[in-house]
Amino acid sequence: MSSIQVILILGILGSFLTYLSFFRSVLFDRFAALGLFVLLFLAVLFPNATTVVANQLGVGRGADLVLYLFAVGTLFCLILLYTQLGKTKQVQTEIIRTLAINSAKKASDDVAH
Amino acid sequence: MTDSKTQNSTDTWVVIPAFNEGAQIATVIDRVLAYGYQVVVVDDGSETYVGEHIYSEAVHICRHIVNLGQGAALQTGIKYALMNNAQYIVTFDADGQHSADEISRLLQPLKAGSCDIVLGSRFMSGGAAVGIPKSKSILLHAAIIFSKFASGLSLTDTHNGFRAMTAKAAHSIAITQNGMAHATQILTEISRHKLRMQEVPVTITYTEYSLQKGQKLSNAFNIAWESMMEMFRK
Repeated sequence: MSSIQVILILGILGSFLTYLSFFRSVLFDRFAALGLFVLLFLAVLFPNATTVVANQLGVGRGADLVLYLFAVGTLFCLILLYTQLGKTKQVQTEIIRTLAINSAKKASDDVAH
Repeated sequence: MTDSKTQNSTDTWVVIPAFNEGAQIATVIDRVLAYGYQVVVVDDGSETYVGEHIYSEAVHICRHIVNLGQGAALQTGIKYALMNNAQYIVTFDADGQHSADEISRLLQPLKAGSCDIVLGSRFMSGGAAVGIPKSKSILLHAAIIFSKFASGLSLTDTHNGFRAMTAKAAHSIAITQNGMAHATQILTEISRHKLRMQEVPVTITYTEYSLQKGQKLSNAFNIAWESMMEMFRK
């Protein structure tokens, strides 16, 4: 791996984590997903162009470049799903908590006693 | 100034999360009630309703319809206590590891106004961890280092469920970690809200029952993972 590759990877990773931590927005997520789909469509429509772009980026074949982008995009989507799952879990917790508090009772109220 | 021994204890609520606890919970509760504290037990989706083991009519019970985790149960109990005008809130384990005799020791600095939250410590001078397995002791000491990284707080015991706080502190702290990572989250909340914190020595007594109910050592990785993921959730 060349030095520039290491620097670029660290830069991309750092930017991504910073985005997740501080700048999350649904609109940006959708634009990123849309952009990825557009790139995939273009790769299918102009397969030879992928090889040209790949060579410019230091990747041997266009198919390899598409695979790399697909892997990064899939990872991005999985992380988005994971964070969304966390939000859903919080909502679920609040619902269960509200039910628990609204139905709270003293032990003396139990029929068994 | 009111003598602390005669001061009304009913402004103090003890929150006891419970999941599949046996009949011993009645003994734990009775010891707490003997001091005049209000008690709320949060049944965290137990297979058998915890109320079947509770014979003290003064106990309040909230029940989660499914198991969420100890963190969620604590937050439910704290919220319930605040809704009932609690001035001080104590978190207390249901498995008998904590001593009701020491609740007043945790409350004393709060009532003196010298801090907002008091954390029990089994590892500081005056504290004790009776019957603690060596592996658990090593892991808990490792947790101290992790918590220092996560919260910036230098403590002698970071995963002790025996703690007390003022109502104001309880309003500030938001426990969103449902599982055992809540212990680390409470520390980060203390740091984030700049709450005045103090450690107090307590005795934690390990029994065969409490060790069987307690956290598996392998869960330490899950706790660390959840704590780190919390940083990326909004």
